[in-house]
This record gives sequence, structure tokens and C-alpha cells, in this order.
Amino acid sequence: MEDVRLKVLKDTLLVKICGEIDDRLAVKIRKEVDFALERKEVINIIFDLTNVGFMDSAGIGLLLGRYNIVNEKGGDAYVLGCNKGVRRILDMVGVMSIYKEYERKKEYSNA
Amino acid sequence: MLKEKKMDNYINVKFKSIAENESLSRMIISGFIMPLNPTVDELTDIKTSVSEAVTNCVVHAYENNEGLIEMSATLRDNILEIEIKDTGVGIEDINIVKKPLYTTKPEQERSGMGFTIMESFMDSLVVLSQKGKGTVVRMKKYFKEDKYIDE
Repeated sequence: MEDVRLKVLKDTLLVKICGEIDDRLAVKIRKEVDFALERKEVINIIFDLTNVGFMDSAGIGLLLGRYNIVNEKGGDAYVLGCNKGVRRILDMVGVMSIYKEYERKKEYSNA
Repeated sequence: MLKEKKMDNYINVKFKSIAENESLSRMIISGFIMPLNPTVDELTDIKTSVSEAVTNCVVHAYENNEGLIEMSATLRDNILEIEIKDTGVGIEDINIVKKPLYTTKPEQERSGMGFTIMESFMDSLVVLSQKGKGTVVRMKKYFKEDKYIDE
């Protein structure tokens, strides 16, 4: 039911999350993602939230923190598949204005 | 749809202040309000607010030490009242803590939006706290009665 999958596609880290993003899951995701972001060639991040049915304020910290990391590396942060509830949380502090909406591309749909 | 008889109900549960119980508290409250046939938005509002209150207990009140969190919920005349109580460190100045983006733990990437979310997602929020004694959070949500008629 709950799953966090990471995949590196050239310079981009794809983070596919399945589950409810709260304080407990955010801590787990952060650890895994930050380890993957230590790789020099990885400068962009895509959060695929298609299978995230619930998110509380822990998601704000998670996304802002990762934005800061890729921003420092000169890369971009993308988000994809936000449902209405998730979007409402992220909109509260303007996360959606610094994250770009990712358009599904072929290379990703095959990933 | 036929008007159903208003339901009165009450629950009281205590659970350990561990992060795993954040999702448990959301499941309990979801189950509790299910007979009201809430909208997706109402359900999200309530689950999120409970999640924020319980996370506060886990992260701040007991600072990852073990303690007990008590959650009770009352349903009467389409009004849901939720109380989440801890006997942890307490809050010195509630007005400061309630400000958007205020957090004592920025290093843990806490957003400081917990109380703001509770305040905006619920219809009322009351926080009572005593330093060293604990904190009580009371939230209310008013359910629309003739949901099917006005939509």
C-alpha cells in the first residue's frame, strides 16, 4: 500500500510516492531522496504524487526542502499528479509557485 | 434522499505518541464521521486537522518521548467536536505558536502551518495549554444538513 520509488533518469531524480504523506512518511522519504540527491549529476527532481491520497503540512516541508537542494544545484523541481486536497495544502505557502507542473513525457511514462 | 434521523455519537480513545499513530488517528476519525456521509472536502478537512493536532503531540508535546494522546469526538445535531489532548510540555504563548510559518523546529523542516491549517479547515479552533502540564485542542465542524438539496 505504501511505497516510495526512486529512479534516476540522466540528470533527474524521479520520486514516485504511493501513500499518505504525513510526518512519519515525510521523514522516510526525505532520507531516501536526500541520499539520491547527493549524486553530482542529479540536479532536477520530479515528485509524482498521482498515488498520494492525503497530505498534511509535513508535505510542505518535504517539498520546500527538496526545492532548496535542487535550486542550489542549479536544477528544477517538478510536481505531477496532485489531487485537489494535496494542491490545497501546497498552495497555502506557495509551493505550487516554485514547483513546475510536469507534463508527462514519453521517457517518463516508460520509466 | 429521505431525511435521516440525526445521529448522536461519542468516542474516546487513547494512544501512544508515536508517529505511526498519526495515520491511526485519521482512520479513527474518518470512520467516526462516515455515517454522516461527508463530502470529500469535509473528510479531507477533518482528517488533515486531526493529523496536524496529533503530529503536534508527537513532535512537540512529548518531543519524541513516549506519552499518551487522548482523542475524543462528539457528534450532535450535525456538529462534530473533536478534542485532542496531551500531557506534554505545554505551550507558553499560544498566540505566537498559532502564527502561520512559526515553528520551533525549522531544522526538521517543520512548516509551522499546523494551527493555520486547523483554523482554516475547521469552523472553530480553541487551544488551551499550560506550561509543563499539557495542551488541549478543540475543533468544531458544522455539517450541512440538506447536502443533496443544495447541490
